Amino acid sequence: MSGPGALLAVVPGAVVWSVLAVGVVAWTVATLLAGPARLPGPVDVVRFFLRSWLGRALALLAWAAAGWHVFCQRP
Amino acid sequence: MPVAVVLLTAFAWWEGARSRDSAAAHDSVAAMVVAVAVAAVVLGRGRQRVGSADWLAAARPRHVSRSRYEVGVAVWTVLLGAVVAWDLVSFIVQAHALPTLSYWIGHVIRYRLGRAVVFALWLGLGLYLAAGWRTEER
Repeated sequence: MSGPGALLAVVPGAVVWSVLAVGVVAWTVATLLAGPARLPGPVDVVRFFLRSWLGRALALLAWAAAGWHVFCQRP
Repeated sequence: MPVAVVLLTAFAWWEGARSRDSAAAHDSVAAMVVAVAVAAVVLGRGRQRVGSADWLAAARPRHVSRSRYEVGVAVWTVLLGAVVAWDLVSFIVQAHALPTLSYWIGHVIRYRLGRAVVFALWLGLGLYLAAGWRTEER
């Protein structure tokens, strides 16, 4: 076997990423199913940062850095 | 609105054909960062919900009970902290056995369609961060 499938089956880092991904997805689903007085979901997390100029600036800085890294550097 | 969607889709498709080392990719990403920052300032003048000094106080949304809010904050902090920490560890170690998050993203954006879709999502998120969750009145 070769390619990302083989890597996913072998390396320990891929197992950790899989666990983290399952955790984020499971918690997101849990927040959506929680009912009227629901748990804060991913939209609430983003909106928390957008409430003030400082939070919005921090979010935009992280967004810009991620974009530069993904589209102009490493991958 | 439909015209803007078509233009942004065409732009993302064009970006999908750029390589990470090209000057066009660098210029276009830098231009989008500047444009989104300018949009945030122009659209947000006088329309921010709270001042920066009050940001962390009373952050709980009205529809969330206090106990659930505390549980939610704790779980999100653990999950997002674990993602950031594990990515940092993988980046520092630089081992084949510990791929970083950008390694996985690299498998998607090596193709034109993948790069275009990820770029469109990134740009959409940036526009939401610039214009979203404002008060209606200045």
